[in-house]
Amino acid sequence: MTELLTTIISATFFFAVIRTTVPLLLAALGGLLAELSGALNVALEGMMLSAALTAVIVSASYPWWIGLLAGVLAGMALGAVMALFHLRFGADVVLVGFAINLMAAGGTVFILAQATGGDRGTSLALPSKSIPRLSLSWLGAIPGVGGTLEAALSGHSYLTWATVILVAGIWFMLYQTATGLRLRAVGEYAPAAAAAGISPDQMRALGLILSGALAALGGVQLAMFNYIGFTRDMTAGRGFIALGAVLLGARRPGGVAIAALLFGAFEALAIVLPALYTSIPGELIHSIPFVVTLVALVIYARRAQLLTRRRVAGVEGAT
Amino acid sequence: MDTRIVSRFALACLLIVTGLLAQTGLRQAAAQDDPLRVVFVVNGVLGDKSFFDSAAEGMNRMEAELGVEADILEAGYDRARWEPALAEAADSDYDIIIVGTFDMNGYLTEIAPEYPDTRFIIFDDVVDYSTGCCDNVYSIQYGTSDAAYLAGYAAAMVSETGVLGTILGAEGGPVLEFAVGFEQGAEAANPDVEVLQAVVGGANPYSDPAKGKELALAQIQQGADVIFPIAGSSGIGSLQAARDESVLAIGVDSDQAALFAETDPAQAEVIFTSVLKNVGQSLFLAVEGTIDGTTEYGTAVTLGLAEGAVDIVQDENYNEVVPEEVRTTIDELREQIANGEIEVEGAIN
Repeated sequence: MTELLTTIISATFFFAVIRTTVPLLLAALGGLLAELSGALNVALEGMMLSAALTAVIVSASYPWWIGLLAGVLAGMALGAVMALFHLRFGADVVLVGFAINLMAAGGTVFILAQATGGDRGTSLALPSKSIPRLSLSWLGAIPGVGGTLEAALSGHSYLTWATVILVAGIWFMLYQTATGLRLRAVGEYAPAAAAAGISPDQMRALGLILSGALAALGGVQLAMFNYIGFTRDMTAGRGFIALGAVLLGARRPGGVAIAALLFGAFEALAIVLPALYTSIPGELIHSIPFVVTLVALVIYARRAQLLTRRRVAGVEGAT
Repeated sequence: MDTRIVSRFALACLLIVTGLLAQTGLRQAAAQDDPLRVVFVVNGVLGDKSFFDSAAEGMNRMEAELGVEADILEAGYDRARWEPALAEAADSDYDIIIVGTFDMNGYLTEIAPEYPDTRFIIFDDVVDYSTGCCDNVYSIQYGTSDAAYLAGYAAAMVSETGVLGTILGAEGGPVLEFAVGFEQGAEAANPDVEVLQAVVGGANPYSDPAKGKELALAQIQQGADVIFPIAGSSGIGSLQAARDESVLAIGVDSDQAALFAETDPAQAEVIFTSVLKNVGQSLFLAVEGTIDGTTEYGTAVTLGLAEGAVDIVQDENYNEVVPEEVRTTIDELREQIANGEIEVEGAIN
């Protein structure tokens, strides 16, 4: 037990948690915006994957931040494609999403082969760049807690810090600006919003495009920081886990952040546990994140049920 | 509106599929009645710089040296296309159809009995002969534990901490075959050695480099100073962790140091050897044996060091990292394993 505690209460473990969380969280924030506007974005996975490849290819010949921007543009383009097919041509949003995922899975392999000259598995032939780490060594000068702060906070990727700001920024946009209110209104009940003069299509297109940009950032972090380079299908279902985090996080930025952190923490735990407890079967440890999700969803559903019941009771009491 | 788009999409799909079919049809029509027609149905695509590429190399060699006609049919990564691709190959008049990995085993078991006149070869897995289904199937497995034993011995000898790490994609037979051989070799070199074992698992055990890297970083944190990933592209992530933390690593399936030699010398440098699975060589031997009549269909073989189907890379980097007396011992061990003096316990059969 003490061994477990010393492992968990360490800067390395904290870093592992943050590394596994950030791509999930960024994609989940993307899922949140689309979901709130009323268009379920199941294409997070494909958007992450496409952005990861774009960032790797572009950063092989340009500075890292241009690679990052190119990745974001790729994600936004896919978001726009989704909006076009769903809103203009009236196709089902889930079907379009899955079409994008399929296209990304096959398309990235095709483009990878074009870019590397025939390699269809990995981007080893491309000297792609990484997002730099932000050094906060001056924290060490603070007496007392300085050393701990430096160990925990210095050396994360720029994008990790940007993610923290994005969580706050998205909260602000959603709940403090007119655009955010309109976006949520459209998602809540589109006819009412339309009657108030808001164009639901415009808001949903905005939601999907921003969703693409955020999912893309998640993919970029994965391919330019967590691992440097691209391999086929490297997102490995993170886009779908992110979608789970949106629902688990009660469709609020803070909740989504906590849900993603929960997934990240248990993922990191599943990585260190097998070495500490060799007697526990690996399969059991691997199932922990899923069990936690299930338990959390049950608790969430139960709470929602109670709230509805109370509300109903309140209404009846009033009449 | 909805239905029109769906039907248009369906039409587009249909056109693409027909186009592809027409293309393969043409390729078959172009072939004349040559002595032996061999096809390798890839459940994936070429370009993995390892497994499938090695098989393709074997195909090219048999075309050049045995005068057979060797085709390669890439079924892509969509599982739903694998069985149709195999059925398609079986319907065309090929004499020998080659498939690989346990993913194709089930499809092969279903299709092989329907084509008793066609011969099938499966590599890296064995079909279930006990059901009496597969008199026309030859199964090739690799005794990679033999070669991994040598790598494990070398790893334990060069390790300063006495802690080694293996990273498995999933706990399947061929992957465990590497792992158990590695452990036995490591223990032969140093009885007190600790071999940490991690499993990638999850939805994509063989293509999650970020997770492979996390697992390796955790093992390095726990003291491991030689990392042996057996996990496809996930393992490439583990190799990157070894590079970042400046510990040694061992490649798998093919000479993985060679992959990085030009683009990432720092990465190539830490990979001091690789455990090779020489798929191309084994397929070449099997087809050559078919022509000579020595390949016994309806049976399974496990090819190890003795057959040259597995080995470890011994290049300049290896010579630099591994001390001379250890290298000599390893060469002796290879002899002893090949002639049966040392028996390495495998995970398959």
